[in-house]
Amino acid sequence: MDNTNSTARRWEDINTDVLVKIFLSFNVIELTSGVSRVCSSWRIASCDPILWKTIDFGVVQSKFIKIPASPYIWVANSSDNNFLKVLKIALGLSHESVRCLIFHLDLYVKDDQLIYIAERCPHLKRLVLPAWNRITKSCICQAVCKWEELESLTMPSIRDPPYILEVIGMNCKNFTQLKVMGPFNVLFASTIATFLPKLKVLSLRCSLLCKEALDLILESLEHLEVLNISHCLFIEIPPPPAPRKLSRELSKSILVKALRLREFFTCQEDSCVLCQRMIIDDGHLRWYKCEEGLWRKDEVSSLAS
Amino acid sequence: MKDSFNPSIEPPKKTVTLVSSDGYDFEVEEEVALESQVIKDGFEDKAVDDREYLLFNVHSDTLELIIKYCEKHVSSRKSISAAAASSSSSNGEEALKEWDEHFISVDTNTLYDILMAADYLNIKSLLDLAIQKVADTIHGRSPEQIRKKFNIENDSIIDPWASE
Repeated sequence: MDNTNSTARRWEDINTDVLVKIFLSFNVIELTSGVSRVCSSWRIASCDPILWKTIDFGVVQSKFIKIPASPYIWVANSSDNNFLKVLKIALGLSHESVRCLIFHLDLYVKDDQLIYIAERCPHLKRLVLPAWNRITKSCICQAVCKWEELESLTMPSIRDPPYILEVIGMNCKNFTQLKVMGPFNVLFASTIATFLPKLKVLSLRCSLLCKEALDLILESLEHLEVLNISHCLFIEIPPPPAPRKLSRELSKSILVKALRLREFFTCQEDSCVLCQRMIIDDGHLRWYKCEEGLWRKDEVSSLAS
Repeated sequence: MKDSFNPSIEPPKKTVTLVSSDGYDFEVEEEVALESQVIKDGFEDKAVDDREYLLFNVHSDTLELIIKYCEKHVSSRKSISAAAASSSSSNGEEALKEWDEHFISVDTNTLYDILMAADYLNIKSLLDLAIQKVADTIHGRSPEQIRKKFNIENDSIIDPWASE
């Protein structure tokens, strides 16, 4: 009997299930530029829908500089091209199985890229897109129209929210979760109340939060179950000439109104790094001064990315 | 321990026989064999005197390793739960993790054999351990380096990355 195990080991013939389990620990760059290019059977395994349910572009950031005029950033061509390459291969391998897309706070997606994404992710349920500098209104609306199954969105604070929230309200019947990154004012609150009246989960963590806006949210969103206002700075704008007032205290009336919520997250800890950062930054949190990845966290687990 | 895995003299423990692809018998305690989900499934249906399993896909060299792994895990589990019951402090889990790490630090051929056997026998914790090891080995390598490391022939006609 043969005493040594001399059979040839063919790593290319490992069954697909096992290969997929191995690939699960790889990020989008490693999948697109690494294992999917090794051989045809590894490529087939790297198309498995499980690997593409969530594409986390958190590892991809634009090379950019800030500029004084709109869109306030300039992105190097090379970095756009690299992103496009990863995007095309990833979405090619994904075969429309993407349900969740996460983009880095410093990844400035362009219109044509967003349309490309929208066309290839028709079943998107959750989108984390915190940087809209280079995306036009019509383009984001066009994209949302293709995402009828969208349920959850993380977006930046924008000056003119009605146009997009109206499209979401009309197109995305199951939309229930929203996270807004940045200052949150009365216009934003009333827009949500008008176009997304069935919203269930809202996170405004680390916002410069207008007190009247918070009142409005609590009073008008009947279906709201979860609200996160952790690390917020509250702003009161009394009639002129009185100056605006910043505070960290929650009024009793807010606390009473919040009693009906299933979960209400607040944080006013002096020792909290984010609360301190909010005060230092005057309510406009500079995430780049924080530990990488902190922007993705959320006290509401379904909105953490 | 290849041919004659000698059962202990004292209380006869229930054993089963595992036969490797190259024809060696391994007599192991029942609970050790039951670490394999494949053996566990349908175990009760088998007659007690017919508890012999022919493992056509597992070479004796590999089977020896697999048995070593299962024995270690069965005994560690016992001592961990014993320590928990007497509420004495134990670093059993840490120690087992270290043991696992050492166990899986093998050459690529052996790693392949363990991976295949763990998959075939459906031993989840061992499969996870082997998968993690393969993933760690792949991490940070280019496709060409991966091919070289695992001796894989490139049969892809197009490289999507290059063709872009």
